[in-house]
Amino acid sequence: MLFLKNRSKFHIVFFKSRIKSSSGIGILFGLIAQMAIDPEYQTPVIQMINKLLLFIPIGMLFKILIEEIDNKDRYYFYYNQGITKIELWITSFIFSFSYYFIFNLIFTICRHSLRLIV
Amino acid sequence: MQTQLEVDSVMKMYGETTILADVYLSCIPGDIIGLFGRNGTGKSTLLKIIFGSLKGDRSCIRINGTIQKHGTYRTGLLAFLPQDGYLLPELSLAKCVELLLPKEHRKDFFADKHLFKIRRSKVSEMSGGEQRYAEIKLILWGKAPFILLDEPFQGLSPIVSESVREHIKIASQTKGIILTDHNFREVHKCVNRIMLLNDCYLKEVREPSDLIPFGYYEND
Repeated sequence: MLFLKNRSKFHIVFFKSRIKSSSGIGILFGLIAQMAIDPEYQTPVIQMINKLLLFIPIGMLFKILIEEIDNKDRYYFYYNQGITKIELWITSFIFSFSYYFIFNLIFTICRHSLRLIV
Repeated sequence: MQTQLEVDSVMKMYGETTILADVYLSCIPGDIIGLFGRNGTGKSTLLKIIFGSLKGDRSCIRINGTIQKHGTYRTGLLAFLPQDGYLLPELSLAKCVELLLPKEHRKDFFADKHLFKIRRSKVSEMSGGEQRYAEIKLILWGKAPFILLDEPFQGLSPIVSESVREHIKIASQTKGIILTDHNFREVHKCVNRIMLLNDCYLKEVREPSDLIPFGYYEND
């Protein structure tokens, strides 16, 4: 249990240090995709934001790919704890999907609440 | 069984060029092994192969008699200081220490004139020498019984180098240490075994004077 607790700290550090930039990359991709699908901006804003959030895990994938090409040697901090980069990648994807599901849930609740109020 | 790191039959080629051939090395706690060799002889490559972050074309790494097949570092029995540093630039030194050292050692770690004043600084805000010193001390204070140091004295002032040598000596009481640095005079001051990488082969050197034919101490 203590072993898992110690390792999870490093996984969270890895995720936290990448989530901002990967969200940026993901949302950028999402906007481009949205513009291609709906050039006349007819999709409701809440629905659009909801769709954009789906691109956060995709942004994480791109961020990791860019890092892998740019500098492969940035994992020694984690290697010294016995953590492989595959482990870090997998947990980051799980975290970013969880991130998406939580926000998706919040948006769904807000949307339904608004409908009820209206 | 005695704690021992054994590296056997290491071979590495880059294209058609052989860098390492049939390298054998053993290290036990108490050893401070200085790895010497000219630029491009494969010292860093050998350390990375031992650590497991680079695959040798052939290699056999044993720790306490157990062959390590998938990245030695995964055992947590080895720690490596790479040439370009390893601390995360976005974290503060205090945060790095919190992550890497047990609670009971943190206070003693910062009872150090070189580190106390920069404990709240981000790694990216620290000077190259400060960062290097913090990295070395963190590695040496860690729990891994075998330490690999690639260019530890790079960018350090003579005073800080002296502190590093002290830390290496203290750590070697319970750990086996392998280090390589182009500043061979600094290395000589703290090692108790010398190994020379020359023409792809690694051999043990008994006396520092045996290094003179290989270009060391030529101007002394």
